[in-house]
Amino acid sequence: MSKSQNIFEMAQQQLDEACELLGLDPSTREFLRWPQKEIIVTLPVRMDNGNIKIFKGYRVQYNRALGPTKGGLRWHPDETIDTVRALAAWMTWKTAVVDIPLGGGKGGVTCNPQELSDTEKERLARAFIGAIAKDIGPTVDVPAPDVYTTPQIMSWMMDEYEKIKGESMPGVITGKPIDIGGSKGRAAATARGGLFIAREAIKTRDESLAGKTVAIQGFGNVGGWAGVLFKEAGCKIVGISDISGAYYKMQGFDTDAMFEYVGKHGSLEGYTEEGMKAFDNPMDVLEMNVDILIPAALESQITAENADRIKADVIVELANGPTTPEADTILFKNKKFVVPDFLANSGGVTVSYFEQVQNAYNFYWEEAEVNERLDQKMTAAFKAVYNMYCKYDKKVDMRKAAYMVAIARVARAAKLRGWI
Amino acid sequence: MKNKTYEHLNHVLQKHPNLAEKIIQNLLIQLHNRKIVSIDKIYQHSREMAAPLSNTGDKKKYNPNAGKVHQWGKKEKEYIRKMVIKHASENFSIEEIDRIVNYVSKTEKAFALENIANLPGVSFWLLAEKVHEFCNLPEAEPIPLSMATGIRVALLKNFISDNLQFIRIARKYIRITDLDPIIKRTLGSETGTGKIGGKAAGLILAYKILTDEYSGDEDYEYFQKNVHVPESYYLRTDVFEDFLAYNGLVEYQNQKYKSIDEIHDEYPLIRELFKNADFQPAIKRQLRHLLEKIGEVPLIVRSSSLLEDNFGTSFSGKYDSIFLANQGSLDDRLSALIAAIGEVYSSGLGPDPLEYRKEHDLLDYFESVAILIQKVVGERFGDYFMPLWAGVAFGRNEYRWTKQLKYEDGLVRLVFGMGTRAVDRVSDYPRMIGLTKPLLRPEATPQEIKFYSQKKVDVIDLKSNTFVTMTLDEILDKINTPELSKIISTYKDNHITDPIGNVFYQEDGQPVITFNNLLKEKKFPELISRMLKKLEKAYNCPVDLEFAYANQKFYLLQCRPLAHRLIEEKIQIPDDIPEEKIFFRSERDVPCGVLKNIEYIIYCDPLDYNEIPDNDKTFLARVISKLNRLLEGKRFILMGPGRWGSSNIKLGIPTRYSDINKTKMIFEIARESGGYTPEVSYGTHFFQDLVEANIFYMPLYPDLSSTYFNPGIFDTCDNMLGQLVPAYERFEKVLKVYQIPRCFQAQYFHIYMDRENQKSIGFIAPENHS
Repeated sequence: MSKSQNIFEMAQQQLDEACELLGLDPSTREFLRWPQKEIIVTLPVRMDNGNIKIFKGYRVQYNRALGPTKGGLRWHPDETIDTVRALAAWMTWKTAVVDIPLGGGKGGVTCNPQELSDTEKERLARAFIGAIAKDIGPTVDVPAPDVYTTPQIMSWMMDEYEKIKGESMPGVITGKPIDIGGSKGRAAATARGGLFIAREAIKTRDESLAGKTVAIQGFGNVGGWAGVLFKEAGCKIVGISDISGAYYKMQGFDTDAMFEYVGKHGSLEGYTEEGMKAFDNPMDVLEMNVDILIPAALESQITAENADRIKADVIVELANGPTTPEADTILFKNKKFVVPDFLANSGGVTVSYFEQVQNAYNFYWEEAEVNERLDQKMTAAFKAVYNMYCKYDKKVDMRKAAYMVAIARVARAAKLRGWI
Repeated sequence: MKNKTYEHLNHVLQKHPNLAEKIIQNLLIQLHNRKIVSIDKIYQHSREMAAPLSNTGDKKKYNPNAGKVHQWGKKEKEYIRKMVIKHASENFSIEEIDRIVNYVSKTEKAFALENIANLPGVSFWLLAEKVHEFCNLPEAEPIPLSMATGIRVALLKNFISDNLQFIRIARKYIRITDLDPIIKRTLGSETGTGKIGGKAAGLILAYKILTDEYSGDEDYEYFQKNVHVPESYYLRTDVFEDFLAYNGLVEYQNQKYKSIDEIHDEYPLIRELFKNADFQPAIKRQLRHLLEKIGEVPLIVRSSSLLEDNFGTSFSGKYDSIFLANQGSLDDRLSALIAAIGEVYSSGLGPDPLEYRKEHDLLDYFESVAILIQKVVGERFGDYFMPLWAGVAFGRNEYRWTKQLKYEDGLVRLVFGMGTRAVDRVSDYPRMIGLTKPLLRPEATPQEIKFYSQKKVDVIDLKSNTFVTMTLDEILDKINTPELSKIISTYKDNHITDPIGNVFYQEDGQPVITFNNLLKEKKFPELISRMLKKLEKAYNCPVDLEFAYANQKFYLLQCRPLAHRLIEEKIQIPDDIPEEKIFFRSERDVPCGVLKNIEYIIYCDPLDYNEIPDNDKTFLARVISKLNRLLEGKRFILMGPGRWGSSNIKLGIPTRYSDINKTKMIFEIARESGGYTPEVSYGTHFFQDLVEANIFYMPLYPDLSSTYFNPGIFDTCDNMLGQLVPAYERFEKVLKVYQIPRCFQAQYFHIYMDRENQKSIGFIAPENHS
C-alpha cells in the first residue's frame, strides 16, 4: 500500500468519525466517502528541444452539493490521483465550514517544475486547460494556485480557457495577478482570516486581543502577515521563529520591521532588535509562555513529544496539519483550545471566492471592503463551529466540531437536492 | 630609361648600404616570380657581360668533386645589380619598391631580434627596445611563419612565462606586434630581467584567441565587437625579488619548509611586514607616474605568479586580490598601492597557498610573483563604483539538477555588482545559469526564487576608499539606469514580474535580482557559450572565465584552464547490495566516480550540530582540522551539515580548505528541517580546490523522497574520536569517527556515483568490492 493511499484513507477515517458523531445514515456516509467526479488526462507537450513529452493530469471534483467545486492545482513529481482525492475531500470540508457556496476539488499534473522552462510551463498549462476545458468553468469547477503553480501559470490557464470559450471569463480561475482580475487583500487573506478567528476565540473567554502575548512559528507569507496584523490588533508578538532560529522579546517585536527584513534577506538571520534573545532551535518557539500560539510553518510540528510542554491556551493553526492526532489528544486533555487548520486558515479560500464574485460582476472592491466581508465570513464560521463544540458540551475538540459543521452542511445540501 | 623609380631605387640602396645586397636579391626574386625576367636569364646575361674581363671560370679543369654552384665574381655581381635595377625601375612602381625594401629591412630586424631574445640574461628594456623598433618598421609583407614563431617563442619566454604548455598555445596567437603594447605597460628596473606571469598572460592570450583575425575563424569580428579587456599594467617578477632584497625579507622565502602550524602562527606578522615595506626609488617613481597617468580610478591589484594559473594548478583564490578605490591625493594613493602590492606579495606565504603547493609538489620552486594592476571594470553611481553585473563561467557544468542540462555546456554564476560575490563562498545566492538552457532554474515558486536570489551587493565606496557590501535596497537607491530592467524583477503578492521594456518600477513591488530579462535576450548566454567553446578549442581543454559588464561593454577579466576530472567514466551502480548494508542512496547533484575501501567516516549529524553552542561549533572546525592531519594517508571521508568552507557557523562547520584537504570525499548534508538550505558549493573557489585535489564532493538531501539515508547502520560502531584525539573527547556526541573495518568485520565503505543517470550509492562491502 502506498503512502498516498494512506492519505486518502486518513481523510475517509476523519469523515467516518464525524459521521458517527452526527449519526448520519449509511448511504449518506458512503456517498460522502467518495469523489463525485474524477478526470484523468494525458497531455502531450512539445518541449523546447522539439521532443514531445507526455504528462498525466488529474482533476477531482469531490463534491458539488454546495456549489461549483473549488481547489488548487498542484504540479509535483510525486503527484498521484490518490493525493489529489484526499486533498479534494479536505477542500470540500473547508469551503463548507466557512460557509461559502462552493464545493471541493483539487487537481494536479505529475511533473517536475524544476526541469521546465517558462515556455514549457506555459505549454503545459495550456495543454491541461485544453484537456479539461469542458469540465471546468466559473459555474462548474474553479482551479487555483497550489504547490508549484503560480499566479503566472493561472494567467496562462485563464487565457487559454477564454480562447476556447471565445469570451472574457476571468472567474474560471482564482489566484490571478491583480492586473488581470485578482482580488485585493489576497496576499494577507490567510493571516487576516486567522486574526478574526483568534479574536472570536478570545472573545469566548470574555477577553479581548489587546495585550495578549503571541508566538508565531514560521515567518513566511502567512506567519509574517500574522505578525503584522496581530500586532496591529494590539497583541504583543513576543516569540517568532523561522529556519534561522527562534527569537524572543518580552516587550514584543517590531513585526513590521521584521517582515520587511525577511522580504529583503530571505530569513531572519542577522536581524536584531534591542532586548531580543535568540535560540538556535526554531522549535523552541512552540514552548514559549504566551497566550496565543500560531503555528504557521510546516506540518507535524506539535507532536506527542512536545505537546505536553505547550504553554499557550489558544492555538490557531495557520499552517496545514501542524498538529499530529496524538498531540491533539494531549492538547485536548490539557484543555488547550485548538482552532483547527481548515477553519483557521480558510481566509485564503474565502478571498478566492470573493475574487470569483468580483470577476462575475466585473466590478472590483477596495481592500477595505474585501477585509470587511472576510471578517463577516470568518466570524460566522467560527461561531458555527463553536456552537457545535458547545452543543457537545466541549466533549469533542474544535477539530471534530468543525468537521461536523462542514459535513452536516454538505449532507443537508445533498439531501435537499434529492441525491440521498 | 632613367625614370623616377630608378632614382628612388638608387637612393634607397645608398641609404641602406648594409641591406643593398638583400634588396637586390629580393627584387630579383620578384622579377622572376612576376615572369618579367627569369633569374636564369639575368644570371646568364651577367656572366656573359662579365666573361671577357674575368680570368677565372672556364680555364679551370673539370673537378668531379666540386659543387655546381657558381661562384660569383665582383663584376658579375655588379652586372646583376645593374640589370635588376634596370628591370625593376622599368616594371615596379615606387610603392612596390618600398614594400620590398621594407620587407628586407623587417626580416633583418627580425633576425637581430631573435638573436638578442635568445641571449641568456638579456635585460628587459634592451629587448623591449628591439621589439619596439621592430614594431615600428614601415608596413611590409609578413616575415616567414617559421621565423616569426621562433621569435615569438623567444619573446614569450622572456616577457611572459616560460611555461611550455602556455607557450605552445600562445605562439600561435600572440604576435610580436602584440607584445609592444604589453611591454609599454610593464613596470620594473631598466636592467632587470623578469616576466609578467600567468594571470596577466592568460587574459592576453584569451583575448587574442577570440579576436585574432588570422586564425582562420570567421567569428573574430563578433568577438572584437563584443569582448573587451580592462586596461592593465604589470609589475615584473624581478620587482618582487628586488622588493624582498631591498626590505630584507628574503628569508621568508623559506617559510614554505616550516610546519603548517608555524606557517599559521607567523603569517599575520609576515603580512604586516610586507604591507609596510617599501619599493626602491626607481620603481616607486614608476608607480607614481602610473597613478598620475591613470588618475583617480579604482584599481585591483592581483598576483600573477609564475606558478599560478598554469595548466592543472590554478591556485584559485589562494592569492589575495586587493581592490583600491584609488581616490585622494597622489601621495595617499601611492601609499595605498604600495601597501596593497606588499599584501599581495605576502599572501603567497600564507597557510593555504603553501599547503596547496605542498600537495602539488611545487614547494621547491622559487616562487616569483608578478603583479597585475587593472582598472576595475565598473560605473560610478553617486559615491559608489561597480560593474552592473559580473561573474564566473565554467566550461563544464557540475551543477545540474536536471538531466536536461549538459555537462559540456558549462555554467555561469552571475551577480549584480562586483564579481567577488560570485567567486567567493558567501552566504548569498548568485544566479546559477546552466548554459544548455539559461532560463531554467531549480526554484519553482516565486517565493523560492526570491529566497534563492542575491540579497547583497559588493561595491567600491569611493568616498571612504573601501570595499563595502550593501543591501539591494541601499544600492538601488543610488542607481538609475535602464539596464536595471535586465537584472531586477519585482515580487508582489506571490508573483514575480519581469520589467516590460526598460522601465524598472521599484515601487511596484519588492526588487528581486533574477537577470531574467538579460537571459531572455539570449545575447549574453550566447556570448559566454561561444567564448567558452572557442577558448576550449584553442587551449585544448575547458576553461574558466571571470567577466564583468559596465558602460555597456562586456569585459573579460581572467581566463585559465579549468581543472576537472577529464575522463567521464561509465559507472555501473551495483544493484545487489543488501538493504542493511546501504548507508545512502541519492539521486541529486551526483558527480562521477567510484571511491572504494574507505576506512574512516567522520560524521557530524546536522541535528546534533544544531544543538551545540556557537563556541563549540567554531571549535569543531579545529577538531576536524586535527583529524584531517592525523588521518593523512588514510582513506577517510567527511560528512557534515550544510556547507563546508563557509565562515558562517550557521551554514556549516567553519573549516578552511587546509582543514579538510586530506579527505577523499566531502558530503554536505542539506537538511531543511535543521535550518540548512541546500546551496551547493559548485562553482566556488572552495569547490575548485576540491576538484583539483581530487576530492569528491556531493550534497546529500535526506529530506527528499528520492534519497535513502540511514545513519543507523553505524549505531553499533564505536566512536573513535576519543581514542584518536583524547583532548577532544567531549565532542563525541556531535562528532563521530567510525573505523569501518573495525565495526564491520574487516569490510570497507564504498561509494559509486553515476553522473550520467544521477544515481549514487554508499555501502559496506568486503575490500575492493567489484
